[in-house]
Amino acid sequence: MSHEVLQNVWYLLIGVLITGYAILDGFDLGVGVLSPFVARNDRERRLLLNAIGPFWDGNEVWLLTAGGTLFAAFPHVYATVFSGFYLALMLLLFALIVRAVSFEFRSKVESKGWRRVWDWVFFVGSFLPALLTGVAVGNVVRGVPLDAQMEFTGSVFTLLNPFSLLVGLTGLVMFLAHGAIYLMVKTNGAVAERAKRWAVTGWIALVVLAVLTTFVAVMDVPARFDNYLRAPIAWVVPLLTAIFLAAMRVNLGQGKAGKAFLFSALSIAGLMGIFGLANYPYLLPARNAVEYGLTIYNASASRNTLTVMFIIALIGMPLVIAYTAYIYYVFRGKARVEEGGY
Amino acid sequence: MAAEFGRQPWVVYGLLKTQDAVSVVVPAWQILLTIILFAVVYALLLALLIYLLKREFDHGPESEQAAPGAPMGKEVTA
Repeated sequence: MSHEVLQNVWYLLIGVLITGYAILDGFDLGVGVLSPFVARNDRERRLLLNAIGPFWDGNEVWLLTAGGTLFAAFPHVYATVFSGFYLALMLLLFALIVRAVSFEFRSKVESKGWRRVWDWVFFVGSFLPALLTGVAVGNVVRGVPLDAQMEFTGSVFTLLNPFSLLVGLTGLVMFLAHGAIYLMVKTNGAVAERAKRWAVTGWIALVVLAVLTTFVAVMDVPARFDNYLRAPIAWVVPLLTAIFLAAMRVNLGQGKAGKAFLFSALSIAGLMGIFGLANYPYLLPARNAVEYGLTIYNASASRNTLTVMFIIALIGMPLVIAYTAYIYYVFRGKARVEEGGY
Repeated sequence: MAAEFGRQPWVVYGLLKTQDAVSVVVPAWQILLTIILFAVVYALLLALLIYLLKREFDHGPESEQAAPGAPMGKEVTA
């Protein structure tokens, strides 16, 4: 394959990894954000942990893979983002560290105070990643200040602009609705009923915020719509996304949790697709000068690296998809609270 | 530690020096701040781990260790 084809293939594959992360870790982050509102007693809180217990760490691996892949395929983007967004990424990392620990430590001591602390850690450790991943996407859409050496010239406050926070909020409600529908699938009774109310509210918030984000993006960064004007076939993706979102709501109304979850996952994929098409071929656009932007062409690794990585991905990705599918199969059905669980 | 110190001044031995690999846009205070935070978080996690392990050890094994025929859930003295 030519270098150019490989660069495009890797843009797509990194998109697949980030979308996979949003769909998979999205629901367990959503469950964490919902935990103080959906679970009312110790048993219900343990039920929530058991519902995502076998899956959450495998889901998080998709984020690591996306980061690792970015390092190997587009090292200039990795260098710019991980240096420029240093404090923001460290905040995300610390949130994920304490969240992971909260799963393991919470039920080890039968003390109300001990468990309340870990419940709180679990909530904050879920809330921050659920918000910050969207803020990151917002900045990648909006563009960040870069210089001719591909270095980020802003500060952590540059990243916390109103538009990116709006995208962060959109991501948060997207994960919240997704997590709520997941709980409808995995639980019964009062928890499932409360989850359904959150799913419906989350869906409304998601639709309103997604439309609002689109309008603000048209005003703020019109260049991001060039691809849609140049290639009208691209409109298939937003159209499909609208259909998926509608199907998600219809199935929610009919109480078909499994189908609603499928369409929630497809809606997330659709929204990520809209974002990927809008930004192409930019991995990180420059807000100050178009020519400083990092594209799949000026930021990629050599043809050899991309070729070797492509072969590894062809072998590795089916394996990951297979073991992921197997784990979901083994732990199918409703979650229970029992000895040996969380 | 031995590997990290022994490799200096290289970050990739013979290819890339640490001084050339460092991020130019990350201020020193941010590095110091995160090193302190990592130290605090890991020290805290170690302390919690020791506390939980000690609890487990003091508590002793569960009743499945009881001698055959002994009533379930009752302590068996050795």
